[in-house]
Amino acid sequence: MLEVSHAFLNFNGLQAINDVSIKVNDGTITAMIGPNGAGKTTLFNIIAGVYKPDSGVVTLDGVDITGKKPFEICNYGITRTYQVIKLFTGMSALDNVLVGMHINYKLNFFQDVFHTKKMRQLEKETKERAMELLRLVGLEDYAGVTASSLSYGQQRLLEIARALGSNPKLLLLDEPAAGMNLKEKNDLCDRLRIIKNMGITILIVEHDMSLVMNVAEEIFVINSGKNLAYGTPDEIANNKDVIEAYLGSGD
Amino acid sequence: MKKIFKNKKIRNIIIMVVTIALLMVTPVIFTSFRSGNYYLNVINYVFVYAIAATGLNIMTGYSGQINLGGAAYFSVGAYGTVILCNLGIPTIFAVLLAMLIVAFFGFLTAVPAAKLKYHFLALATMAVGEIVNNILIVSPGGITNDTHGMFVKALDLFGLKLSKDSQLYYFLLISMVLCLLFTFAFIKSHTGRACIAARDSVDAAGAFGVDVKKYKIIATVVSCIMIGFAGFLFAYLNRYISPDTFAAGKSTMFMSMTMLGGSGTLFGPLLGTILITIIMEVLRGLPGAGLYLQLSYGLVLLAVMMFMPFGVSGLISNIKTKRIIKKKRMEEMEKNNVGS
Repeated sequence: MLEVSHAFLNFNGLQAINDVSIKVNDGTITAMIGPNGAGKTTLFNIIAGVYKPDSGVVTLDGVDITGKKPFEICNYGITRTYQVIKLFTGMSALDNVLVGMHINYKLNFFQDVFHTKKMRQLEKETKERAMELLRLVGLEDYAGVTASSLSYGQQRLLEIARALGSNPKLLLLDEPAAGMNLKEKNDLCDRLRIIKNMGITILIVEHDMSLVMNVAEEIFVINSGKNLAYGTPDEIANNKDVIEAYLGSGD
Repeated sequence: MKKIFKNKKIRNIIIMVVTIALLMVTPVIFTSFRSGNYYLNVINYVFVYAIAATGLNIMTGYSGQINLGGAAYFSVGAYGTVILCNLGIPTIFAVLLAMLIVAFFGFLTAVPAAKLKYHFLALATMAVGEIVNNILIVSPGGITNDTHGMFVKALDLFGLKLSKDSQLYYFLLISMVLCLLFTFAFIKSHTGRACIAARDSVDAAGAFGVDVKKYKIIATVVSCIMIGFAGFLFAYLNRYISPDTFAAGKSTMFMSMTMLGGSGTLFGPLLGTILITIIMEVLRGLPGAGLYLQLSYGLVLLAVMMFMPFGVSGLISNIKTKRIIKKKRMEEMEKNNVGS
């Protein structure tokens, strides 16, 4: 489904991404791991349109999306969460999800602001859908609470609910488990599987190995901006290169 | 009786009816005693300034763009309507035309403003205020009658002349309620939500398909129209307008009203307007009033920024949210205790 082939990106002399290719298969949970500074988030930002690669191609279902702006990427069916949480802090949890559904609104200004019948109908439907998504991540009781008042783990879950709002084909999760406790992490694994079963493909960047090994079906390992390994969790766990990259070589 | 007050719906209806009744009889009460007219006059100004502050709040509070040139749109609304009326155009059309002018003028400033941030935006909007004020003083072609200002005829609504404070009161009250209702409808619309989202996180809003620049421009134009509308009301309440009435101090006043009450809240600007008006009216009576007036402004703004950056309403809603969260956490803890 998603394919990044031979991506290069240079930041003022620092070769952040140096020929990386990844392929995410339809309907899977794919993880991208690697030591700090390996370029995982940078690659994420290339896919999400924040950075334009110097060379290389990003395609989604065969459509070239290289260098599209973030707000266009959303229309192609890719949404994301952030490593550093970027919620709409002053809005309620429900409103956050509603903004995530923004591209579904096709109303003109006056229909919208003067709450015509058509708008109220659409509003009712979207609110029901938003509540479903909040239920999916277990935040339905917090619908009216301001996003900034939620706990750290809840904020991460809310980011996922918001990202699901626009009915994406591909969900990009940037360290969704950071700052979560063990129970929350286990819940997250279950929820990710539910999302997968809804037919949404997931690409996840995560430092927490137990979570990755638990939930991912395929894993890409990246080191110093290069592909290091690719395989199933078991293959990766026994891969000599990967162990070396994480723990250093024996000599 | 106790039961009635426990039922929230009935209680709210009672509160609403009482409030409406009080608001309706206010002019009757105030005109019945000697200094009452003065108070009524002050209340009328509160309505007008509250509309301006509510309008400003759409730009600063809900879309996160500071505006230190609010008086510019206020004066365009005021001068626009008065000049057009003097040309013999019926009031209602004059107002609509003036609002179109304000909207266009707002759009002109909104486009560059959408690209600016923080102190750059503050300075740019301040410059807009100064430029407009200078145009009023220079008076191209004599249309604004330079520093002499213009006297305004009584408001003529379809042949109905509103000149006394007690007459203007109802018109201003209805105008303010309508403006508050519109603001409520705006922030509860998809457009409004997109504006707020763009305020809270430009990156995330963009990632979900919100065209940040477009929504900032929409918020600014809507905000300017409402401030302009307040300007029109001001002209007919004050019955005299001059460049002096629209100096930079007005812009700062609108800003402080919004901030004090709580920017980004529906009733914040109204609350702030009432508070600042009370402070001003009390200080006005003291000796050396001019000095204290300016001094108190500075102190109030300073205190608000330090102790409650979200204003009085922000403080209240903060306490409310904390209570909900606390209740939720307690419930969860109880649940866990029962489970184990």
